[in-house]
Amino acid sequence: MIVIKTKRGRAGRTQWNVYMEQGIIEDRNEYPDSYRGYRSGTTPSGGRQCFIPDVARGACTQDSVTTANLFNDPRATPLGTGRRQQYGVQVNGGTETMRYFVSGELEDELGLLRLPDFERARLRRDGIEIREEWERPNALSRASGRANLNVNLSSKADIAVSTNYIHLNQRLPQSDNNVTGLLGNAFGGPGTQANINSQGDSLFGYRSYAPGDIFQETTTQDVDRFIGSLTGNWRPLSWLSARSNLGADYTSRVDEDICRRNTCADFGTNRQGFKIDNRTNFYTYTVDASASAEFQPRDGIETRTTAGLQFYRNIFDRNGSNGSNLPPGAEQVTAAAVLGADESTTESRTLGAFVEQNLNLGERLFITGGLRFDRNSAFGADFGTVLYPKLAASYVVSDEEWFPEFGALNELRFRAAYGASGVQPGTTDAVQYYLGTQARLENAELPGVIFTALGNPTLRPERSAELELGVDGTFLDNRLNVELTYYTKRSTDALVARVLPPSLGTELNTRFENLGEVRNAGFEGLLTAQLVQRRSFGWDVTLNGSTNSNRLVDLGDVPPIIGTTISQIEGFPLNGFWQRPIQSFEDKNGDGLIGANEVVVGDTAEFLGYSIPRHEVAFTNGFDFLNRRVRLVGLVDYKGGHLLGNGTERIRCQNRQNCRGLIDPTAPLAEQARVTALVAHRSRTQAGFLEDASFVRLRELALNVSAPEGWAQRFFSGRTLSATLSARNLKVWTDYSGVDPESNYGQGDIPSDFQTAPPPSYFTLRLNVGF
Amino acid sequence: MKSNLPHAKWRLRRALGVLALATSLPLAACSTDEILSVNDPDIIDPGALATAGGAEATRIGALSRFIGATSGYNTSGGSLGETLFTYGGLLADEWQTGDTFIQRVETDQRTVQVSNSGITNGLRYAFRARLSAEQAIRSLREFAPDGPSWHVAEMYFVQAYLENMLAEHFCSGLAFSTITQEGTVGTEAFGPQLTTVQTYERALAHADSALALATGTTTGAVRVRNAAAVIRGRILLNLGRFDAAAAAVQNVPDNFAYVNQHSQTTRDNINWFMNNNSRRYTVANNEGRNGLNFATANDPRLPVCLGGSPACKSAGVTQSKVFNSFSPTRLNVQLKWPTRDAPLAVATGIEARLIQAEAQLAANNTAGAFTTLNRLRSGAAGLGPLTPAATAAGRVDQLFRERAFWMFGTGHRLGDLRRLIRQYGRNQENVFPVGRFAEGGDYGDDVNLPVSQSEENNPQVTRGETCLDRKA
Repeated sequence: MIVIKTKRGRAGRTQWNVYMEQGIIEDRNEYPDSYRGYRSGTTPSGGRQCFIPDVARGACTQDSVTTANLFNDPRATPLGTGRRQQYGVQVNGGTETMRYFVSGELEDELGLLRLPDFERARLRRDGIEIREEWERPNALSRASGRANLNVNLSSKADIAVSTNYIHLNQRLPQSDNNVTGLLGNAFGGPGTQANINSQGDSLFGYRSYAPGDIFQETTTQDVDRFIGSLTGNWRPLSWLSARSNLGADYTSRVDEDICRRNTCADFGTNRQGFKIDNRTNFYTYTVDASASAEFQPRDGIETRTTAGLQFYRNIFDRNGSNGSNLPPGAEQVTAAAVLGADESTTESRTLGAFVEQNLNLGERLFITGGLRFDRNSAFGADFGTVLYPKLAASYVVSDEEWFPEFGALNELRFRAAYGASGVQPGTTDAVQYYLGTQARLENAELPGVIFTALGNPTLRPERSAELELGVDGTFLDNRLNVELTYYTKRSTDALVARVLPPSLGTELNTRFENLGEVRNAGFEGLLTAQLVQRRSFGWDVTLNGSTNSNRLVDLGDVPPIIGTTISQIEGFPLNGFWQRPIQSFEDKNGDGLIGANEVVVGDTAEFLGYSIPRHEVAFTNGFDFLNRRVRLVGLVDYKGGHLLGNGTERIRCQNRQNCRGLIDPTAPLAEQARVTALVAHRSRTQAGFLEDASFVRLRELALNVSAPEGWAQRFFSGRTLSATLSARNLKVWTDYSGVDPESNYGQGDIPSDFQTAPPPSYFTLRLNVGF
Repeated sequence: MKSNLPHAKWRLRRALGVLALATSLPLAACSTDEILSVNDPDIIDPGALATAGGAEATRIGALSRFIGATSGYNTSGGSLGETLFTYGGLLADEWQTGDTFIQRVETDQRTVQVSNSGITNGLRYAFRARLSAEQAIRSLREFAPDGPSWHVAEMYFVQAYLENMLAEHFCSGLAFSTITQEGTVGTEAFGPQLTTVQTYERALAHADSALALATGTTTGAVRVRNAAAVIRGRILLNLGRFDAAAAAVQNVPDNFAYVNQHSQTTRDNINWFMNNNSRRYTVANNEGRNGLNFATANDPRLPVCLGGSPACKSAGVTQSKVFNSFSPTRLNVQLKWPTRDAPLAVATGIEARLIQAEAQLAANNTAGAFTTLNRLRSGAAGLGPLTPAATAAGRVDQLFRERAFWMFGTGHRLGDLRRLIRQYGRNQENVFPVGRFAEGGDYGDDVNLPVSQSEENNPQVTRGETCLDRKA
C-alpha cells in the first residue's frame, strides 16, 4: 500500500533547514596474500607449482614460496579514497488549514576504486585516451525532491497529498564472480607480481586481466522514480469516519553496458565491442478505502468497527536490446553488426477486503479481532479466496486498582497477538505455458515454441500463522522502557520449489507446490534507558536483540532438496549448510604437513549450521554534554549463530591455487587440513570453508554539536546551527577468515562470500542550518 | 464522539449498513474475476497452439532443442551451457579442461559427482529435446495430419538420436518420463529406470518408427530417411549387432550429412564456443597415456593450431593460454569449426561407412574393412591409405582411430571407448586416460557419467541409486 508518511508541515511560521555534507570513503579491510610454491627444478616465471598435499605424499618438492598482495602495493592497488557530498534544503510551514513540507536534495559520491598507476602508464604508453569513468569506475549521483501538502477542508474532512521524485545515476565496474571482474582477478592472482599476459604486458599480480582493461567496460544505471499518494479523511458524524487512499509508484530504469571496439578485457569476442541497453518500467497502483464506526455502549467500554477494501496492481514491463561487433567509434546498439532484443511483461493484482473490531475496556484492556479476505491473480485456477484471521489483546495491568504499587514501575502491559498472513505465488507459477524460441534450419531463422512450465492449478498461497506473547514495562519515571516478545510462527502450504527430475523434460527445473511446513520461534527484546539525565551530562542507551530458531518440519513427499552446500531436509533448519564434516586431522609423520591420509572426513553429509544469523544484538550509547549541545552516539552490533561459506578462499585454494593452506608449509595445520580435504581427499568436502561468521561491529560513531542559542541569529540570521561528524563501519571483530563476514554475493535468502567486495568505511561532516 | 444509549443500537445498525454498502458497491460493479484477470504476453498458452501452425512451431521448437542438446551452446545455462558432446569428449580423450569450474575439472579427471551441475544441464537439454519431439509428434498428428510424413519421422529420429546419445554417455539407470496432456492440464508420468540395453532398444524402436514414415522422395524425406538409417546403424553397433548395423546403413550415400546449423542469434557452435572462444576446453593430446594425439597428429580431418601461433591468431584466437592461465595444459585450438556459426553434421555417410567397416572387421573381413576405410580416406586430401596392422587388436585400434578423427567433437568418442571395453574385452586402464592428472591428483575410474542426483525426484528412482551400475 503506497502511503507516504514522511515529514509533514507544521502550522506556524515558515521554517527552513539547509544542510551540507562532505565526506570520504575508504576501504580499511585486510585482503589475503596470494602464494606461489615453486616446484624444484622449475623456473620462477612459469612451470608447475608444488602443493602441500603433493609434497606430503612425496610427489614433488618445493624449493621456495613467494607471496604477493597487490592490495598493499601502491602501484597495483585499485583501492583509493572516495569522496562524498550532499546538499539539501527543507521548508515547512502553513496554517491550521493548510500545512506544507517541501524538500530537495543533491547527492554525489565518487567511489574509492581507481585505475592503478601501472595501468595508467600502460594505457598512456599505448596512446589510449583514458576516460573519466575508467579512472574512477564507480560513482553515484542522486537528486530528489519531495512535496507534502495537508489541507483541512473542513472540520470534518482533510486531505493529504504527498509526492516524491528521485533521479539516480550510478556506474559500477565488473567485479566479484566474473571472469573479467576486478575482484575475481585481484583475489585470483599468483603469488608474484611478475606475471604477464599474452601481449607481454605486466599483470602486476592480477590473475588474467588488469584494471585498465576491466574498467573499460562501463556499466551504468539511470533511475527516475515518482511516488505519489492522495489520502482523504472524512468524518461525517461524530462516530463515523471514512478514509481513502490512492497511491502510485512509477520507476523508469535504464541499464547500459558497453565495450567500445578494441577496448575491454580480451575475453571471447569482447574486444569486437558490444552494447546492452535494457529499459524497464515498474508500476504500482494502490487503492484502498475503509470506514470506521465508534461507539461507547456503556461507560468504560469503547468499540470501533472498521471495514475496508484494498486493491493492488503491480506491472513489470521491460524491453532489452543488445548489439555485438561494433564499428570504431560506435556506442549505440543500432550500429552493431549483430542485433538482438528481448521483452518481458508481468502483472499481478490483489484484491482484499477486511473487517476489524476493536474493544477498549476501561483504557486497560484492548482487544482487536479481524478477518481479511484476499484473492490474487497468481493463485491457481482451482483456488479462490484466502481468509486470514487475527486476534490481539493488550492489557495494562498496572492501571488496575488492585495492582500493587512498585515505586520504580510506571506501567506494565501484557500483550498477545495471533494473526495469519500469506505469501503469494509468482505471477506465472500456477500456469502451464510454452515460450518462443528460434532455430536455424535450412539456412533460415525460424520461430518455434518449447514446452516450458508444467503449471500447478491447485497452487495456493503459503499461509503463516504467528502467535506473539509480550510484556512491556516502563520504569523510573519513564526513563527505562523494556519490551520483551516471544513469537512462534508456523508456515503451512509452504511454497517449495520442487525439483523436477531431468527425465520429465520441462524447461523449468522446478515447480512451485504447496508442500512444506516451516516453524520459526524466538525472542525479541528492546531496552531503552536514560541512565543519566543531568544538565552537564546525559547518557542514554538502546539495546535491542533477537534470536531465532528455524525448522523445516515437513517437505511433503518429495526427496530432500540437495544443493552443493545448502540443503532442505526435514527436521533441520531451512537453508542449512550440509557437508561431509572434517572429523579430525593429525600430522602423523611429523613433517609439518597434512596429507590426504592425515585428514579424516565423515562418510555422509551432516548438518553444520544455519546460513543466516540466529542472534542479533544492537547496542547504542548516547552521551550528551553541555546541556545537550554536544552529543556523542555510538552503535555496536552483533550477529552470530551462523556460518558463511567462504567461497573466495575456497576458489583460491581449489582453482586459483594461490591460498596459504595449499602452498605454505608453515601454514597452521587446520588451514592445511581444510584445503587437503577439499582438493586431495575423495570427498572434496567444503566443510572447512563453512566458517563461523559471528561478529561484533562498531557500525557508527557520530558527534553532533549544536551551536549556542543566538549564534545562528548573530552570524546569518538563522534559527539553529549544528554540525555532525560521523564515521561508519569503523571496526569489526570476528574469527571469520574472509575479508568481511558481511560480504554478500548472494541475491536471494542466503548470504554468500564469493570474491565479493566488502563494505567500505565512511567519514562525513554535516552542517545543518535552520532559518 | 461516541453515541449514548438508548440510540446506540439504531446507530450501530445504521453504521453497519453504511459499512456494508461501502464495501459492497465496488464489488457489485464488477466481478472479482474480471478485476483479477491479467494477461501475460510473455507466455504462450497451450490453447494457442492447437492449430497446424502451432504444430509446426512445436516441431521447430523440438529441432531447436535438438541443436541445443547436441552441437549448440545454451546461453541459458550461463557458464555451464555445454552439452553431452563436449562433456563426453572431456570424460574421454578428445578434450582436456583449461578451466577453473570444478564441474569440468572433475569430468576430465573421471571423478564425476552426481551433483555435478554441468552434467545435470547436459542431461536436461537432452531430455527437453526428447520431450519436445514427443509433443511435436502428437501435435502434428492431431493438428496437421495431412502434412509431410517426414516431419513426424524427423521427430522420431530426434528421439532415437537423443536416447542413443544418453545411453552412450550415462550409466545404466536412465529413466524416461513424459507429460500426458488433457486440455491445458499436463500431468507427469514418471518412467522407471532402464538398463543401458533397454535404452538402446527404446531408441531402436524410435529409429524404426522414423524409417517407417520417411518413405518419400522429397529432399526432406530422403534426408530424414538417411539420418534415421545412420542412427539405426549406430544403435545396432552399440548393441553388438554388427551385421544388422551394416545392413541398416548400406543405402546411405557417402556424401550424406544431417547438419545442425548455428548462428549468433540462435546458438553458437559448441566446439567453437568452448575451445576457440572461451578457451575452457583444449584439444587433448595423448591424454593420460592412452589418449590419441589429436592435437599433434597433423591430420587433415582435424586441423589444430597451438595457442599464440600465427595460425591461431589468424583464426581469431588471440590468447595463447587456456582460460585458467595457471594451468600447465597447452591451448590447442581446433580449426574444424573456426567460426561460431560453423555447421556440424551429427549423422553422416562417413559414419555409415565406418559402421560397415567395423562390421566387416568383426566378420574377419580385413580386406573389405580396409577397402572401406581407405575409400573414405581417399576423399580427404593429405590422407594416404592405411595398411592393416599385424594383429587383430592392432586393426581394431586402427578402426577406432579412424572413427575418432572422422567424428571428433560429434559425441561419438565416449561411446566408442565404452564399446572397446564392453565389446572388445579391453580394460579401462588401457582405454581411458589414466595416471597423473594435469591439474593435480590422479585420474579416477569413471567410464560413464552418473545420472544426476536431481533424478531422485522421480518417484520411480530409488534414492541414492540413480545408476543401476557404472559398467561400460
